[in-house]
Amino acid sequence: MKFSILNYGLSLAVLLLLVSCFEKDEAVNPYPGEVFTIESNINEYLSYFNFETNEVKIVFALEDWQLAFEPDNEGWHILVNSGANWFILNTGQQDMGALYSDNEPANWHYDIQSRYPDSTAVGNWTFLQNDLREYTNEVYILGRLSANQYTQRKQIRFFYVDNEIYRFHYIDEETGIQDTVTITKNDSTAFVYYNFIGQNQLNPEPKKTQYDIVFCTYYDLATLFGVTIPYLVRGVLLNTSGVQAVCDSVTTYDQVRYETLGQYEFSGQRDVIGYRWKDVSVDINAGSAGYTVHRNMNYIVKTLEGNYYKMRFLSFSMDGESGFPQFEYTLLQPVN
Amino acid sequence: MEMQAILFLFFLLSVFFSPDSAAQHTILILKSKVTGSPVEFAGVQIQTLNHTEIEKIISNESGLCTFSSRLPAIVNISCMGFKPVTDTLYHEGKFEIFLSQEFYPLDRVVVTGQFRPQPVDRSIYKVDVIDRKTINLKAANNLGDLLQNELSFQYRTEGVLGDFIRIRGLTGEHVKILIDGMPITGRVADRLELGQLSLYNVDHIEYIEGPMSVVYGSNALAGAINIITADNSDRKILATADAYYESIGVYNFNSSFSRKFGNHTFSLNGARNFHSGWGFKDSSRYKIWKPKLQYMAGASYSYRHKQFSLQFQTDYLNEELRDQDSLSLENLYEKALDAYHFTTRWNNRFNLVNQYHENFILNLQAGYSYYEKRKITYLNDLVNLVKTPAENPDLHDTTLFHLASARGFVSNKTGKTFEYQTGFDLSYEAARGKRTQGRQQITDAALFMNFIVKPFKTFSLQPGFRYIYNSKYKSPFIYALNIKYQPGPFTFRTSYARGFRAPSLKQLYLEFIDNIHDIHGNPDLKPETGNSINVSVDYSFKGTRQAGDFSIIAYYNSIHNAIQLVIDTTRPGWATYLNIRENNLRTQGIESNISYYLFPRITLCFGVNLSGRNKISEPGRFVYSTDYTASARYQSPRYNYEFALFYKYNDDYLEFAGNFNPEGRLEGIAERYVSHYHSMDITFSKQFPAINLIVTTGIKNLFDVTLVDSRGNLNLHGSDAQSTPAGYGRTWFIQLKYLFEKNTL
Repeated sequence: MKFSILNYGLSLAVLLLLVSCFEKDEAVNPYPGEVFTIESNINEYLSYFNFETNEVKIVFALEDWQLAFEPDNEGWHILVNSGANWFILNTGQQDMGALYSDNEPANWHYDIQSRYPDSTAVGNWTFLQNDLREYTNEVYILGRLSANQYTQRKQIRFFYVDNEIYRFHYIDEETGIQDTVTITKNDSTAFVYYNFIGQNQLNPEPKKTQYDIVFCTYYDLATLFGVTIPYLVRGVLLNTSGVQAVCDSVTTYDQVRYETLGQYEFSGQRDVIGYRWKDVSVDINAGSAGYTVHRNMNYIVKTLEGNYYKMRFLSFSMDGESGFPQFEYTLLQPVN
Repeated sequence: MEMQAILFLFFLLSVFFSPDSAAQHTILILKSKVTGSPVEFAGVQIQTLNHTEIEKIISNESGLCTFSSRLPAIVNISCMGFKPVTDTLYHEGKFEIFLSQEFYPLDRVVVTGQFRPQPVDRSIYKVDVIDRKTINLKAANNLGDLLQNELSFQYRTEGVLGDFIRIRGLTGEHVKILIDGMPITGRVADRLELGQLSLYNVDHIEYIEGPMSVVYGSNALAGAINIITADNSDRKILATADAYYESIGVYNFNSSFSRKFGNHTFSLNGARNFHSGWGFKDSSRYKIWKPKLQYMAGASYSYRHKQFSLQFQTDYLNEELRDQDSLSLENLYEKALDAYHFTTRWNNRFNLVNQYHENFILNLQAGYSYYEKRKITYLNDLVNLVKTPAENPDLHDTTLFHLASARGFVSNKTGKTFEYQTGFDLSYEAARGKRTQGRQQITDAALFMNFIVKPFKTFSLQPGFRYIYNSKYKSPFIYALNIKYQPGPFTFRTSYARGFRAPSLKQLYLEFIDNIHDIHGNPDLKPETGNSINVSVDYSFKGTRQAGDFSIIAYYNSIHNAIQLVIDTTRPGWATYLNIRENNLRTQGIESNISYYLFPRITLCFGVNLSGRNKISEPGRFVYSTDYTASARYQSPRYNYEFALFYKYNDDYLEFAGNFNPEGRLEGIAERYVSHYHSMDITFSKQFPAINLIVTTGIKNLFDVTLVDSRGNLNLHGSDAQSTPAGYGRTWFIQLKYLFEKNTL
């Protein structure tokens, strides 16, 4: 009899052990808020976003340009596409075609977005002296960083700018192709671009009144393995034509209101939003990288129209693939 | 179907093999083998050969049992705290029978690193043993469970990668893990996942701290752990069924059956383990301990005749582990990326031993180990409950490892003035995976020799060396010297050993390139080589009712050419593996244990382990951690119960890794600090001999440890993680173990 009780008891225990299984998923409700997703991968494209119209006005490929030029009448700054790993070296010499073998990374520069326009990678290649425009005529080398080497090198001498055009001369060190290029200014956009591969000028940007922020890739200082070094980052830059922003990581998103705007000091610094709203971590063993978005970082943007929007990032991934920022934003309006 | 089969087996075990009820004056005097003192309250069962009569007696306080059954008869003696004894009596008389204490370590026979199996105190190596009884009392289901509170090991768990240990400040890749002396494959993160090494069919665990490279080759730089599976060839029939429940959501069941036909023994076993996972927040789908379901099966055959034995064993494991993504704002609380990890392990071992002559004993082993890990990531739309494979190919992976190995050696009988062991090792390992640039393979062949010279009875000297050929790298010449001096109750051991660790296939061939990373293996890596010095003293005493032992060991390890991931501060995202030549990785420490036995009731143990790692930035300066363990056991032979308590203090631990540049120069230090914590388990176990049942229950993690403070990170990008998992909180468990055996005569 006692064995029967034992049998029944143990069999029941075994049964319980054997029916254990993974929990089933429970259905959830859709997210109640409005979320905007940048649908063109930020690793490959620049996306120009407008808060008022709730749209990406224009997308263009990161690979399509190497140099950008300020197109307004007084503009003379030149930027380098570090997002596609292009760097520029100022040889300090004026001899085009000479052999320049400097491969020391510290001498190759990228544009630090926070310092624009006061300081750029190309720097002051022209200056005013007694109201007359002068040129250094120094030879620059534009090169693409690949496996610790600067490749596809082009020697460039920027030698002219006025209200209408830029002029520069270049020699491609690999192919020997050389040309003198004229860039035509276009005051309606923030920048115009030049592509050495197609040997053509591009004007892909929307008008500067038509967008507020740009989702793009660029170089900046970041901390890697405890060391702060230049690093390729994915982030957001402001329209330099007057859009301002501020970051608030103390107040919760819901508590950021029109009435609290007075406490903020807005800045037109290009990378106020930047890339620090997320962190990357790498799992060598799994061979994967993951991103953590800091949702406590709220950004308040003042658009060209004078409207204020609060925004926060929710994700850097779409369906498991990284490079697709997702964010929510809300127009701040006075109560009543 | 499977459930029905197991239930059926269980019924068979409990119904058909339940003991039959069944009959001159014979006196047995039961004594302790260690102390010679009488053993009281031992259960003695006398059964006639035709199974018609059974008589049951309990020994008195003088260890005496008197019975009147007809002879010849089989005598089965069992007593809490002693190993069971079976014998056959052919004539009347007065017999002394000596029982071995279960918990008395110097009585144990070990095989790891030995020429032939022999008692642990005769070993020239200091071999530690965790016996089956301890495994049961700790309610350990796998090797990770078992080692986490052992003094010599520092335990960590790392999510999907599972449980890992350190020995003497060196991480798991420096530890050789063997099953019955044969290596197993599947070091995904350069280390084996201990949670996949189940203990249900294991007899005991042996481990040796310090380099064992002369005997076991690569990876045995910090030590070797040998899992010894159960050998049922001394029983005619053995059937077991074991059910385990733990309140966190662990539901395990295993069963085994073995049958002996003459010299042949066949065994079958199977197990199903389920762990429902644990996360810090009950509401989150994300679990720190991942839910997993394991199915295991095994079979073995052995043949023994005189001095010849042959064994074949096969073990299979299939594991499904789910790494569920948290339902977070990042995915708008709508979707989750759930990674499913499917692991298959298949280990096969063949062992042949033949004693042609007492000066020529042949031991041949061969093994094949297979490991496959598939990761499939699903985008789980939880609004619509639709699950689709993620489009990003980086989220899926399949990794395969094959390891074929053969080992053979000849030796003479132990206990002679001159002993020798000489043999060979062959291994072929192949790996295929997305991150290893396709299929990669590595072949290793080695010749090894060990000698034991005993100029005096109390003095042994063991020199040994190993010559290695490897298809991928130039192998070092490995040698060791062990000395043992055993005057009276003292045992002095000292050793110098040179060890090595081969670069893993991942370190040789990794290729991880994406938008922001450019991480490569390095085919030019050289093996790590280590020099290790050990000095130990053991003292043991035996009284009439009590015994004790004390040991202290000091060690020093210095590893040259340590393999490390290096980055380049001028090349963001780039990293590779390099041998670090400038700074040796050094560890040193002292470990001491003291045990006291009051037979048969009380066992008390206390240990302290001071382990130090040198600071990379300040050669000569060490960072120390001091761990403590204590355990107490009380057993009542009269009432067949026992009580055990296990405690460990895990000290603050500082890990660090050098930030080396491509030339191997140190440019910075990354550190990770893990805070101290206490852990304690208590267990109560009661035997019901009449129904062949043992019930064990207890509380694990009494101090409710979950996450402990952690700062810093050795990750490539750093992290702001503030805690690291150390436990899944306080749980209670119950284990029912049904065992039926019929012994060989």
